[in-house]
Amino acid sequence: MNKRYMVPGPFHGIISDLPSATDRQAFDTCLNFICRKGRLISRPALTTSFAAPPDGNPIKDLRTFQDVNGSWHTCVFTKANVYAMTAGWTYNLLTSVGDVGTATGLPLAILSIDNRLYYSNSSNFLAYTDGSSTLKIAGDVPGGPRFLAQNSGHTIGAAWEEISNGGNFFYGNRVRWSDVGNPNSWTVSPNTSAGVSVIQEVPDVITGLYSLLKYTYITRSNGFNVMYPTGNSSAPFSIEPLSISIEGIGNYYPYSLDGQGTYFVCVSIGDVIQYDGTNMNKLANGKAQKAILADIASATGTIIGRCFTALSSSFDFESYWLTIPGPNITWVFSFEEGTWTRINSSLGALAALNYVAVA
Amino acid sequence: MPIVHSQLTLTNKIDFGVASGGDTQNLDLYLIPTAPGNCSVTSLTLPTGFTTTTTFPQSISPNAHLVIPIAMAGGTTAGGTATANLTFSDTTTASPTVTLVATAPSSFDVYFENGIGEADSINLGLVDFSNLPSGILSATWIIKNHNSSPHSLLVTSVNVYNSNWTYSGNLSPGAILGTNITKGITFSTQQFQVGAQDGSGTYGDCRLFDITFEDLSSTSNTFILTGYLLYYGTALTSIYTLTGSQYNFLTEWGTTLKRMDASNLNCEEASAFSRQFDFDLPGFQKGIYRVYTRIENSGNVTLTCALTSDNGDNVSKQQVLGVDQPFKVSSNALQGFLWDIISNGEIHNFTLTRAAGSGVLSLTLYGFLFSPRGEVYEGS
Repeated sequence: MNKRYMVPGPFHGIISDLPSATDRQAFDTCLNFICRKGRLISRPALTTSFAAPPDGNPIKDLRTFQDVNGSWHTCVFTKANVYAMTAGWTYNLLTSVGDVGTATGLPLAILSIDNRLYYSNSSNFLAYTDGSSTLKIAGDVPGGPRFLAQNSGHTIGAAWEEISNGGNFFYGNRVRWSDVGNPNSWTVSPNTSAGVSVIQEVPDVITGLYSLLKYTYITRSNGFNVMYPTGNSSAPFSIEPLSISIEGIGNYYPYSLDGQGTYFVCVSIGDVIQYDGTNMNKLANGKAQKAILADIASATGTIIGRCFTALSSSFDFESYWLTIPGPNITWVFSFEEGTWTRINSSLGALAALNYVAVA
Repeated sequence: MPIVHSQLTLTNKIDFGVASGGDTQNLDLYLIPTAPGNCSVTSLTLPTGFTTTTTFPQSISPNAHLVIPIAMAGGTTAGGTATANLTFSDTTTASPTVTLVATAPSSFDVYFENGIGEADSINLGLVDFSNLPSGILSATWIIKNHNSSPHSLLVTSVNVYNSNWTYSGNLSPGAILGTNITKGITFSTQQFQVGAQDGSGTYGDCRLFDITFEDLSSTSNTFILTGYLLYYGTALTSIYTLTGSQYNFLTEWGTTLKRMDASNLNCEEASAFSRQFDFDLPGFQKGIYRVYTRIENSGNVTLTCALTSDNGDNVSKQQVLGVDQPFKVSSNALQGFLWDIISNGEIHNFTLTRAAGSGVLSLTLYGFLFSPRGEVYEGS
């Protein structure tokens, strides 16, 4: 279990759920501060500017990975292209294998596995970059999933747009897993351990995937399922409803889901939920729940959640960042302090963020 | 020489089971205990495919035991069952016959670790050659001996049926894959390497290989295995790599990409917090309140404290706090924002604003306080 050294500070962050003046160490509003190590500090400055992608599109994601030759790459994803970055923040376009993400315009599911970066948002087939100059389709994959995870050597996709000559069909309750050790083998046959399952017993749709230890959690808008390995190569996974899930509580906002390996966080219809495989905690209840939900109600685009353990090698800050376009505000939850604050910038809504290698 | 009325006894069948060249079974000959004298086995005629190292004549005493090893000869490449009879020439009253039975396997009994199973054609398994360094594409499999007797394998030939591939490596013709390896023991763990990458396709190419082994246990046995490797992808040439890079926390705001620098807490935007205070002092005509903070001295920072009350009072004060200001206590530098206010309001909204880019603000353990100091009476 992840044990954190607690530095309980005097500041309780934004508390909107209690009448004002109830908690003298809390704030009604708090903008561009973060709570860290018993202090309330002005948030880190936005300093160095980097060139925008040449295709004129906003950046949707940035990732760094190591290829099979041991070389490092940082990739920038826009809705139309994938670029590999080199010194001077130079954009190098990777040869496309079709629509990167324009058709659905959704945030990308990106998975670093097998020394490659796999990506998909159901606009096209699941594809990957392997450190070469061209993007590639993931073997015999039947389409593109909206969510990706891995478990027991299998790459797992959920909520599939399956592409065929007869047309594209979206299966919101379908989960597929690749052959073991091969993210490019998806055909279900006696010769592989690839497989498919449909979550039929619930009326809602799959909104995310996240693996904690040997379990993969399939989040739905109003619940959770758990997928666990059986050790049987012909049926490698079993999928069951999560018995301790609170009825009606799920991942209502699909792209609010993220984690740090020992827990994940997502936004349900009424709260921000943290789950560590044992306990399901409501992070906003009694604190900033009311204010967060008010901002979400004013959202004009996709809200995105990201978890980080540090903002640099010398600035540990285990936190959850929830960005809401429209109000153009980002709620920041400090796990160390258990507090919520908000940050913003006059430049606009926070659309993408990550800790990446820059030459 | 008088005829010795003795009798040889033995089983009437020697079953070699599923055997390969060089396998040996024993022919056990006994002379009855009450024989009046020795028996001499003068010759032994073996059928084609069987040999013995025993020379003749051989003498057996009463109740003695003569062991004649019978071996299967090599050169058997087809499966099937062989039967034959041994005949003796001896000095007993009768010469028994023995049936020899042996079944040769249709191929050398080699199981591949991936469990494909034995057959004349063996699927060497699915090998993904994608994303390997250019020039070296390799597959690894383990060959085990599943026979009851030891075997030694000699690679005699390798044929590659695609001109895009060249071959080199551990399975070269003439390589010996283990000597006298017994049942259940791995012959060897081999890497099978092919040469330069194939750029003809992204996946689905099929490469056919014939690999011929010879069983050194009997040099006349030759077994042929065929199979194929299914190949995905091409060998990888890395491009657009990063060297000497550092990690930055990058953030895309609107369409602007910026580094969020955790070593610089001088936020470029204004920072502000507010809260409401109600000390439940309805009886106060006027109250005196003190605002004070404690901050870590991280350099100069411009703060503005604004206070509004429910009776309409609206005051603010700006102050630059930092190294040049009073109340600098020590190098630990706990400084304060100190401000006394008189107000006749009951509920106060307090806002503290740090001006954009004016410095780092770090409020510490002492937090910030807005507290009543007492009541003020106005004289009439």
